[in-house]
Amino acid sequence: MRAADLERAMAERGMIAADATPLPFGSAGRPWFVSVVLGGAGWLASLFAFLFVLLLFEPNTPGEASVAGVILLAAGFGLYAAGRDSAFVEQLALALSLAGQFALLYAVGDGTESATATAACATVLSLAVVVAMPNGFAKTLSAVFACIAWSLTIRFGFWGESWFDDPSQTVAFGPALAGWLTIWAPVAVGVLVLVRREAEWMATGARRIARPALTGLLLALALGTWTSEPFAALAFWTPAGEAPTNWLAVWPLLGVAAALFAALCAFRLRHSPMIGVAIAGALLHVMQFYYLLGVSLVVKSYVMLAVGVGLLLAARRLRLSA
Amino acid sequence: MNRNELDALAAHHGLRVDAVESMLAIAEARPKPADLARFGVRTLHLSGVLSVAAGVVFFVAANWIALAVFGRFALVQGVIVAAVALALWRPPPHPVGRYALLLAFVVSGALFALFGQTYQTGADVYELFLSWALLGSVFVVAAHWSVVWAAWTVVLNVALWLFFGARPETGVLWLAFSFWAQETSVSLIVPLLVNIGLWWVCVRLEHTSWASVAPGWLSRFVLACAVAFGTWSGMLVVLRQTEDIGFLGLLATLVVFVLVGWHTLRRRVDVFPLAAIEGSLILLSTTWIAQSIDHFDEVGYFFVLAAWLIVASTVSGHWLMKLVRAWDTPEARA
Repeated sequence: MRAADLERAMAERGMIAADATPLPFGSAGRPWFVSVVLGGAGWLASLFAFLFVLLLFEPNTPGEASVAGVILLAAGFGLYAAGRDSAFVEQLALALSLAGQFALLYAVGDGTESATATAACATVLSLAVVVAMPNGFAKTLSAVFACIAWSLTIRFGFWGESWFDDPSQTVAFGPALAGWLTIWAPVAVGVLVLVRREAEWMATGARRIARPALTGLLLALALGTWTSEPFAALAFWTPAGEAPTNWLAVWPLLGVAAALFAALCAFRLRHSPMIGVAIAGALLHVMQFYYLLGVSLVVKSYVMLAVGVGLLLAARRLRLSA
Repeated sequence: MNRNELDALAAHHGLRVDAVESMLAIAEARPKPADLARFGVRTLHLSGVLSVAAGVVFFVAANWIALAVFGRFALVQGVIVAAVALALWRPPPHPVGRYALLLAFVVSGALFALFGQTYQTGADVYELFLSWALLGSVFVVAAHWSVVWAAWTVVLNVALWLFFGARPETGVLWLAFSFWAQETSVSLIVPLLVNIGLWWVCVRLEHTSWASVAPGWLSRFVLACAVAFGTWSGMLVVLRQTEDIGFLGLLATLVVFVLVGWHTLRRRVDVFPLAAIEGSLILLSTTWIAQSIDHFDEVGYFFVLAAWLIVASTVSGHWLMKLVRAWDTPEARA
């Protein structure tokens, strides 16, 4: 159905006036692949812009870097607000706002020398961008970044600031499960609330925040566990001797569940590309589960077989009840 | 209609909550409970089958000493025999047959791995994936299902990557290709062309009885693989990591991009191929500029790169959106 057909049907039902001005052509937004090209290029440009500012002004203290960050962020905000219809201005604004965020986080990292504090600040900063930045694409990206930063905050805060999978780390099953739920349960609940109350926020100005936030949260659920520690899935080397049991290794499996939940929500929203992302995310999480140290492969194979049989039984039950 | 358009409609006409509910119902923007249940069952089935398959693969990889060689082979072959028996009992397009053949295809890879692990055949990893793609194709053809074809293309592309990209330089196949594949940038032309061939087949099947086997997403996936191999080949040339005939990699990539672009512009259906090519060209051109201006001072260097990326992506995005609006097909907008 096209917008014009829908408007005609709505007019026939008296929902809108018969002579109401039709929706301007081209309101469907960008297809996802155009966003990927623009987002990828904008992100890379922001890295170069950040390095350019860093080398040009040579901020020596966290305070100076913060000033540079705030100016870049404000410039990005201003450009977004002023040039809503210009593709060039939008790309420039994306690069500047991301460069500003990089600079602010650089200042926090330099000042605190703590990855946990930097990740926590990144969470707050990204959430602020989701609320304040006058651009849907920037909001979506920031929602994803906020979830990843939140994940790293909890991970570093509870189990130390190791970037890669630490083979000597020991974490019991209970804390590992509690940690994962602390990170992702609020995200999943947020998605559920937004999906269930979609009509309510679509009818208000809140849609300008809720729609991109929902897209970002779905992306984060689909890929978040993997993206917040992607290098662990590339641990092709294994340390000498038996690795101690570390149930953080079960996080990717929980990430699969989150990805499947994202797929279900995406289906409710008729968002086919997001379903594809969620399926790809689930497969990436299985790969990560294979490589993460902490639980032996035999135990992992039993877990996968048990999960598989459980899912098939659940499918049968759901089919019979439906 | 996508959600952005519905949001715009709600905002444009200032709809209240009940009117938005009605609009979503008229536009069929929300699945019915029965559709949702069907999707849930399908998702659970697919994840269940893949989990069981992954369990078998993990088990073989664990090389568990408590189970003798005979037991390991019996286990893996038992799963394949059971899956084939299920597929014969309820042949595709019945879901049981399709899921069973998907399981058989994945587990056949574990069987090849187990064979190599047990008998120390000395086979390279690419040989495992290539054998898997070739011998497992029986299950793929029998399944007549896009999901199994997607799994097959993944396995084939891993084999191509391992052989033409990682260059094992062992095995009979390598002997056959070594005269041609002296430069990685040149050897990568083969996986580029293989994927372009698959994309072409997908496009040709669109209006035949095989259309369900080669849906749009699968054709986009193989094209993305082709563009990735082409970009890799071109990148090696731009980074000057080739000698002699190495430049042919970039040349072949550009020729293929032109042909794909020309075909896409003629069809006026899906903008995705052009977006993939644009993304690749932005990456290649940025790398080329980075190489060409490495004598600049660092400030100027990063300024030029940032400026180029912003300008190039703006022009690309503007052009792509113009095509999306002009063609206005479901494929162009999705």
